[in-house]
Amino acid sequence: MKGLLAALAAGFFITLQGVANTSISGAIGTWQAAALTQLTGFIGAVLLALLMKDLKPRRLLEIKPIYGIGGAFAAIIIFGTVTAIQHVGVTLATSLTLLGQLGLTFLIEWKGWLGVPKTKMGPAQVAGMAMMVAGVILLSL
Amino acid sequence: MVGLAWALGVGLLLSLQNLFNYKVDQKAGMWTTTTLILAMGFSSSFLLGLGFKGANMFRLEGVEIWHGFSGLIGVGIVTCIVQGIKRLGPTYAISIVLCAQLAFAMLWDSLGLFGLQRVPLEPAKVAGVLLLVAGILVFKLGARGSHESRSDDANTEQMA
Repeated sequence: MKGLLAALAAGFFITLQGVANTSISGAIGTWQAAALTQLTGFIGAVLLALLMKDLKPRRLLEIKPIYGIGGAFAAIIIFGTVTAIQHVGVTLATSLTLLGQLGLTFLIEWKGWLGVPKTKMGPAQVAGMAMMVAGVILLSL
Repeated sequence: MVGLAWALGVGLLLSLQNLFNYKVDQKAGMWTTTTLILAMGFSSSFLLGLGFKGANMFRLEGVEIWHGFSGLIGVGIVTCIVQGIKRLGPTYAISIVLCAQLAFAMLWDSLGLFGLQRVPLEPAKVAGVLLLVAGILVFKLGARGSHESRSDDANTEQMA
């Protein structure tokens, strides 16, 4: 039950974040909104990391630098999410984002790109993808 | 068309970001990783904003208190996803997260809260979302060639 609530809350927060960023962008501009929310999020994360005694920046020296820049995509992700929500609404924006996300992850795992172990895909994954594409088409009509 | 292209592009970037973040997470632990992600997110947003908007990045009129707090939503997302995965396992937890995202998105559109334009709920739209939810469940819960892969971690640090 707690797990279910946590997962539902996560979905709620992810959607809320997109909506809140869109609302803030309307007030102060999209780049300003992205910078401001990432800055306060960063401060919150540092405080929580300290609280959990889990702030170990030295460990970051062990990772390949390329993987460390993943977070930098956030600028484009936030700008894109806000632009998409402004143009097509929250539902269609969320749907296409999920489709792109699951679709590329599917390809990466299937082909074994970027050092990810190759995973066999069954008919269920192909069928699931097809249903998602059909759903998005139905939504955008 | 612009909106559709951006939404799809964001999905592709999220997929890559989740993969990169996962690799950092394996070595550095959850909170160090989350902190790095947000530091990177701030730097890139600030620098790009400076490039596109110049000194306007420093104009703070129009900022309200809640804008600052909204950055903490990302921390809430990470916490909830980690708790969900701990209790339900990655496959079920992420499936629920994805479906909840869609359900709340539809709710938001139909209510038009937060000054967003209201997008009325039509039967075709509801059918589209249901088809998407079914697709996600079939994709996530359907049998795979080999055992569960790490795609189930997709989203763990999404937009944190």
